[in-house]
Amino acid sequence: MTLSAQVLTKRYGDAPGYAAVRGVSLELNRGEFISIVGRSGSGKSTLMAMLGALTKPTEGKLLLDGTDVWTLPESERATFRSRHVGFIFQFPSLLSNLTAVDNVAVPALLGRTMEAEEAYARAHDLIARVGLADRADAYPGTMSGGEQRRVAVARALINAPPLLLADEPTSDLDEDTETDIIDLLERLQRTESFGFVLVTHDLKLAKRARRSYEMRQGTLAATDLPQVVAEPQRRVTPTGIRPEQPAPAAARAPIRLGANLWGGVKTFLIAAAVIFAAVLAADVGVEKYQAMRVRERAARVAALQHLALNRLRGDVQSVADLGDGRYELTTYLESVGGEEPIYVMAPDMRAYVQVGTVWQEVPLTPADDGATGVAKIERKQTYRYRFDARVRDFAQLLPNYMHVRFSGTMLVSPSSRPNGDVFERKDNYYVYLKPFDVADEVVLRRMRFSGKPPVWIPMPPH
Amino acid sequence: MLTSSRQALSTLLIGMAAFTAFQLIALLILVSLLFSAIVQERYREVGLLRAMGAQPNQVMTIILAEAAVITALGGLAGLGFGAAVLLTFARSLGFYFALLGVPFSWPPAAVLQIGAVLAIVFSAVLGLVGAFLPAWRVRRIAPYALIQTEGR
Repeated sequence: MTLSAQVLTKRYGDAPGYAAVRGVSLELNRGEFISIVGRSGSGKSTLMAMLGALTKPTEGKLLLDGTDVWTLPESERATFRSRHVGFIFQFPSLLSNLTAVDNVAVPALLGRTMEAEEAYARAHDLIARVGLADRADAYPGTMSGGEQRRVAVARALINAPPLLLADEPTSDLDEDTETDIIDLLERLQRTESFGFVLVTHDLKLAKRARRSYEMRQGTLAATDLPQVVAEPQRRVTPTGIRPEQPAPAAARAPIRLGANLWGGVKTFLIAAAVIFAAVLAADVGVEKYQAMRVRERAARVAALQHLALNRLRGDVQSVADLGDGRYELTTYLESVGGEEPIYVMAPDMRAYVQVGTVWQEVPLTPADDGATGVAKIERKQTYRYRFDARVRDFAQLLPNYMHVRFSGTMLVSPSSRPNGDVFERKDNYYVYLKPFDVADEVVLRRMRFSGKPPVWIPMPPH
Repeated sequence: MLTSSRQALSTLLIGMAAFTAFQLIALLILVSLLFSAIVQERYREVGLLRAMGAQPNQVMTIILAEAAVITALGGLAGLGFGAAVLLTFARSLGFYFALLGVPFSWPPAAVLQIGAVLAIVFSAVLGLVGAFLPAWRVRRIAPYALIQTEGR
């Protein structure tokens, strides 16, 4: 594999005159170790991003074995990043909600370069090789900066890329840890034989590469740094790194992808089921109780209805002619078929005379005090009213007689101080009434009575 | 009287349907804004995934799936809450009406079930539609530009 950068130039949109990288050409082969040094802002990171196809060069080409990477569709560029390049960034770049081994396995799972089992086996292997076998299940938040960086190294290598780009991978680490990481990278580079580009501002580190370049204001120049070859072994066992640790047996345990997720879902479902069952049980209980209350209430209403409708009889007792169109009405209420007392709030009585097809109300007033207030009905209670019935053009169902309706509304209760148990009963009494200004002879001309025509004739309820 | 009650109730129903529709639109905008913010906050993470070789479609799928799962769970919670409100209603005002002789009747079980399924599907679709624009936008940004943003 050869990755060839040809006259790469990168200008950023907001400053078109200024180029972060200017006409850089570089060839990278498998197994090579190249270092690039330069001061901050010299364009090193931009060059690395272009080499990894993370940003499009403004000018120039990036050729992978002769194919221009930027002429490919984005999906194939993603495949290029997945299979050909490993990237180590200058900042902690682990996904904080995944464990170390999950982080390492992510690129393999995303790129579908291998089966999940294989990916995890390799991830455990790599974790062991960077000396973190016992931290495989730790979360990034609980790891030191050096440990996180080593996980990032393992992650960059999961897909066995032919090229590893490390952009100041140790920038925020102390000197010893920095050396540890670079030692590790160099050792891995030798065993895995990937092409390795190390960007650093540390000349000492840069010297360890076979080829060294210096980046200055966007341009790349070869340097003749004397190479340091034999230095890496100055510390026999670097602290913290236990190279080639065998992976623990647990690492070979079957992989359970998304185990945490399913665990969470299970907990959630169990909690939801418990709450649901509790609510359901409470609901059933409340429903039973309420149904009982509704039945009780219905029974009470039925009893009240029986009391008000069947045990209380009411009708017109008499109508007397007071002359000049004035009449006196006497109605009665009577308790029948039981001993319990019945209390009635005085009827609100109204009188109507039929005119044509409509009922015309005529003035009616109570004639005595008994017609107001609450009365206990033990035997028979009478109510007297006076009303005027001087109506013209009344309907004559019987010749020369008015058709009169008395409507009474009363509240009935079994107790004198009703507490919700009140029934509203409506009564209609119908009578024929002889008008005051029609002489008996006139009536008798069309109707036959045994004596004088009566003042009123009761009608059956209708 | 019955007819006028029925008319009043159907007017109320239309009003509530209109209100719900407006609310859905407002929610759609809200979800979209929310996911714009969420995705923007994760630009660096998305950029990292892309640098590791994630396909643009994979990133989009992750964002959309997350949105759909979140809003569907929200819908589920809303369903639970709604059921609780309905139960409370049935056991309070419904009980009061039952005492007065007006029985409280639940809608048919099929209507309730279809309504529940529709609600969940609707909320998931709401997430999908709301998060589509942010997900589509992030798909078009170069990985390096994503990584360079100050993620947190």
